[in-house]
Amino acid sequence: MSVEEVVTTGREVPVFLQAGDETIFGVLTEPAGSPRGTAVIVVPATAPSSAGFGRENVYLCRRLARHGYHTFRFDYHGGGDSTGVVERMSLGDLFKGDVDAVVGWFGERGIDDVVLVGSCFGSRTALGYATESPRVRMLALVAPPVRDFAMGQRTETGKAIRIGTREALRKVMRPAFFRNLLDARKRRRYAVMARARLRWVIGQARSGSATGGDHWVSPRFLESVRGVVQRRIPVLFLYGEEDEFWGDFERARAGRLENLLVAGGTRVEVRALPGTIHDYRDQTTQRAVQDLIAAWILRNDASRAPQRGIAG
Amino acid sequence: MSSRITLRESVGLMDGTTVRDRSAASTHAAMPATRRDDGGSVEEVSFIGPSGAGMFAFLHLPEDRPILGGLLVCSPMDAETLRHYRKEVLLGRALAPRGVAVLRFHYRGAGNSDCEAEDVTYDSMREDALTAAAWLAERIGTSDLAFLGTRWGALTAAAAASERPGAPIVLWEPTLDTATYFRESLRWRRIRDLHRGTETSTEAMLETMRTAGQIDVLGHPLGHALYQSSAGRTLRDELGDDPRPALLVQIGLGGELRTDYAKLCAAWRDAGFDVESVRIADEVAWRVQVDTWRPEDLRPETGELLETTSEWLLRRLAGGRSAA
Repeated sequence: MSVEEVVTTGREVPVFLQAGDETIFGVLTEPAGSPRGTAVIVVPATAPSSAGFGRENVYLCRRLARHGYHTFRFDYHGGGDSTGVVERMSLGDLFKGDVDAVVGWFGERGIDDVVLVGSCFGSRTALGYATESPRVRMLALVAPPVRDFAMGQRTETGKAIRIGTREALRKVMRPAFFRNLLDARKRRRYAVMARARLRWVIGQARSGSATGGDHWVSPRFLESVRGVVQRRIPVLFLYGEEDEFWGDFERARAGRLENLLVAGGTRVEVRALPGTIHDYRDQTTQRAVQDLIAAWILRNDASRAPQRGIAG
Repeated sequence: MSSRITLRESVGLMDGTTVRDRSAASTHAAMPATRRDDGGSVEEVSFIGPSGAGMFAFLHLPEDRPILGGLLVCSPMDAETLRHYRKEVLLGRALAPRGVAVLRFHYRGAGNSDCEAEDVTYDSMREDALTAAAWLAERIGTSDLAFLGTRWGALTAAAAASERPGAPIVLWEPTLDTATYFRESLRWRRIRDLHRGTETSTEAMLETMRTAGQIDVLGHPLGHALYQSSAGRTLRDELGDDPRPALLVQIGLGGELRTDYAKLCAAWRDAGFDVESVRIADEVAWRVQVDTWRPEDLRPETGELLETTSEWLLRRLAGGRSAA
């Protein structure tokens, strides 16, 4: 089988699998080339279906299948074609159980070697899961947020930690602020910002200078990075230069994160592409991200010869 | 023969879910992944159509009760699917236990299906809907089908429904003509460009589309082939004049039925259609992220949309039989 084969749905199998009380839906793409015995699992952001925002998951899965990988894209419980209801999505409550179900599903079929590719919420989920599973061999993380927030509160919580105290005070003294308080939606946004700012102030007071001013960075994120570095897992951190999360990542490097990245040595790669890649808002960026991820996985796997297929 | 088997040959997942075997080189046979729901339905997922041009098909089937009829769901396209997808999933899960087999599919060139977006034309989307409708009718053994289309999907649903005289049709916030839809698309592209500090004229975008085959609109390709082949299409023409039951659902914050929708309903009534129009007060951002995230499953507006649609469809498909 040539690696140039165009992989289509002819090599794909829809799958339902159990994750706790819920059934999650995914699509398996079988390898076109000699099987490597490795599964690449796309851990989704918050896209509406397993295909992704602009089919980026489909393209990546089919592309890597051409190189001998079993690939899998899926919907979290409560999303897409899966069952269940998720009342609140937060980076403080990652869906590691869903990833574990997929990894376990491959394990039952003889594939214990796993590469996780995550985006945004999915990148944090993949990172958190990788510290707990011996099966994860590589991690590609697209736009991982370094701070914790609930879905729908990214902008407000980001503003709250970046704004200076003087500027914040100036804003709340304006008549527009009081007018906006009459609008329920804006009132809710202010409340989110106020809580985030308060947490920031308390964190700053508690931490002093011990954390290099990175008290706003998620402790869970730092712990997970520490975990994968200690386990010597190759990690790709990939951002867009104009992503809000890239700015956060760069600021976080002024603190403890930098030491962790340095400790990872050549196994940790940090890349920033031009423009924004979070939310995949244009196709050119989508393709650039896929190119980079595919090349990174293949490069890290170059020393590993194709191994085996899936066991019965 | 090695002892290795591929997943294609494997079976037996947990709790009633299965993946059945399917050979790699064949056309897409109906060998789906299945899930049994405690609520009284079975879900089957497969790829239908010829190999290399397969369509993702998700079928919600009633279990242990007679099938009143089938519903083909024609989705929106491009960025408009993003905020909408789960509504269709929930509709399938609401209707199947009540006796309606619901088929959702991804157009070729979109979602989990085969082909590239650049190759999509108006006719290919219409063919996809017709293929799916024929597959559904054969699968459930009845030609009693209804159609549902949202936004651009309303055009596709109408084109497919026109082949089945009298078939009920539901239109969620339908696109009334292709020109308006494309105008909105190009406007979104201009907004994005302005946000990035560049300004692009409509003429320049159309020229790029012609020469490059497509332009990017919020991360989704708008192909020249689709643009050209869709010119001049209207919802009214696509559905034709054969009278049928129709439900038009306006989704938005307006207090009254919009003028263009009211005119269309009036024209259909004049042509002998049995038309109902409903307003669902909901703020839907079709192409962009909303400020406040709430799970679709728990939004009262979505519940009202699904219940209104389900009740209407059950009345039409039951044909006097019990639809309880």
